[in-house]
Amino acid sequence: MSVLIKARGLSKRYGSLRALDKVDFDIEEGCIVGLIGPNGAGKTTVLKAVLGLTGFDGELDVLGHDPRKARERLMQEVCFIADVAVLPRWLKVGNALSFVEAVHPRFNRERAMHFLERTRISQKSKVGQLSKGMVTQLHLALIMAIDAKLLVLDEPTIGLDILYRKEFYSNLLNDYFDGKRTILVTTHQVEEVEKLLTHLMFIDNGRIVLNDSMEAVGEKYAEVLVNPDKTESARGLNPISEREIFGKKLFLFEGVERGKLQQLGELHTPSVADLFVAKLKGAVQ
Amino acid sequence: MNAMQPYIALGKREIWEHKSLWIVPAVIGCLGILFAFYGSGALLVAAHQGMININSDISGVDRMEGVRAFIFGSAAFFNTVMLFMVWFYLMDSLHADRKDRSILFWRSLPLSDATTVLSKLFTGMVTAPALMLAAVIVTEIITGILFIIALSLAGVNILPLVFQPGTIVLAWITLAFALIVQSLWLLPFYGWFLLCSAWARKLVLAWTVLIPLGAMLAERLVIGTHYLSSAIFGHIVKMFMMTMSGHYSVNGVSVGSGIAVGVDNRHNPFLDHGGPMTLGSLAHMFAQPEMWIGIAIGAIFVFGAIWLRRNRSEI
Repeated sequence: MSVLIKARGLSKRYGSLRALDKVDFDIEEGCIVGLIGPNGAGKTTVLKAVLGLTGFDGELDVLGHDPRKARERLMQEVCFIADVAVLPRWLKVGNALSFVEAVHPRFNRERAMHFLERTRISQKSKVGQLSKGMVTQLHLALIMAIDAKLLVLDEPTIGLDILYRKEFYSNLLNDYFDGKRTILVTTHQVEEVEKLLTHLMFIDNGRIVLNDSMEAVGEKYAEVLVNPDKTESARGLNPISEREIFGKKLFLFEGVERGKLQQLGELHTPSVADLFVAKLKGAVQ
Repeated sequence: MNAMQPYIALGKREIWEHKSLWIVPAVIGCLGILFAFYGSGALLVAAHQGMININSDISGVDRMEGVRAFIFGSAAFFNTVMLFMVWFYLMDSLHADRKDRSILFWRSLPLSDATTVLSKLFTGMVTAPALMLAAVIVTEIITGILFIIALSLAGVNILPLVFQPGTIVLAWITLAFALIVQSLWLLPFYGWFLLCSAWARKLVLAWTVLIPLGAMLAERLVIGTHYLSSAIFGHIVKMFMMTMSGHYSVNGVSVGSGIAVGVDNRHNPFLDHGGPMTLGSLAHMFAQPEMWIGIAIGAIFVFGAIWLRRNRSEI
């Protein structure tokens, strides 16, 4: 598999604030990467750098281009949905289709129409007349009709109700992702993307604190529900987090041999949210 | 894909967003036609009462002057309104999408920032005047026909006097050329509006006006000169004098008229022949060093706007 995005020493400062601090990562073709982090961790800065929307220091190669110099060229192969409602209110749906068709060589109007037919969006409507959820449907229809290599999503479902959120990701997975395309997504609603992701990247304070495939995460991290009598021996194995549930202790371990853990209790793969909390607490300590 | 297609789409996009670019000229045209209805009614009454007496001895030159006075004169109001419209359009053009964050959508399309900024400039310099000219021509044809019909109903036939297709078409071509010259002459202003639009976080209007005013004031207070104010105001005044004015004498009645404002042209130093604007007098403006200095300054501002759009578009 070829590397689509390669970052080396990627840094960005806003005045004295270090939004990104010498970050290194690779993103390979065909992956769905979740970039997860608290507010102000640098997620959006990473995306903006990748898209050529902001300047940065260090090296960044996206599909063989330097995004600072070749945004226009890059955008033929990269699509982007920032959070909902960045489509201008005055734009008519039909005109949006015509405009993208005229300026984007890889846009297929029939495909976009096909997606729109499943919704209640009329071509004559203006974006300002649509609900938030419908604007997102429209944006997704436009983007899914573009034959791109990389799709970048920045909090694509923020502020939407659960029906639209579920539909958004199921459309993306069923109608867009074909195993060759690459998706880079940031979100706060980790539970929703969890089953979708092939790779996980945690970012905190401008640094990457975890970057693994979901398989590797499943092998490396384990959650064990421990009876009170074994609590001390569990602590001896250096868990990265400890919580109490129904009078028992729930420990999260990183890189501890499975055999040892099985003696303590039943093993589970931790949820991304729990892993996130554990890793970030660790980073704070 | 047609190579021109993206540029045509960009041009249309501006009209979708800024409907005033065609609505305002259309409304002025409708108002003009409404007044012409009223006026032709008045003419009809006056002619019935024998108050109109056509002197068929009017010389050929005076007839042409009269037709031109009508064509340039009725364009004057359109043009004045259009100049303000273009000012506000350009101030909004690189600011509105930063404010509502739709810039994130526009910049996710494979269009360079230079192309985008130049499409706004093109809309201000070419599309807006072209839409205005179309409205002017339609209005003039309809009002002209109204007057001719009203007078003929009263038994006065002015058709042979005013129906001079060559003069009429030439006047429209002159008008089109005047609008191009006007756009180029105003490029430093247009560039400045784009620069402010790309730069200001809010209150674009205040910045476009206050920065030049502040610079003029600073020059006067600190250095004690007023080169900047004379350059800026002089540039505006000269535009009106050079392209937009014309002194017409129709049958002994003096009519000051132009496509911008009525300016008496008898003492206009830029028109040695003292007549109305012609293709030649307009072309003469390209011989003015001030034209080229203005274009150079305008180009610098436009480059600045492109740079800001590319590197500092966050609000």
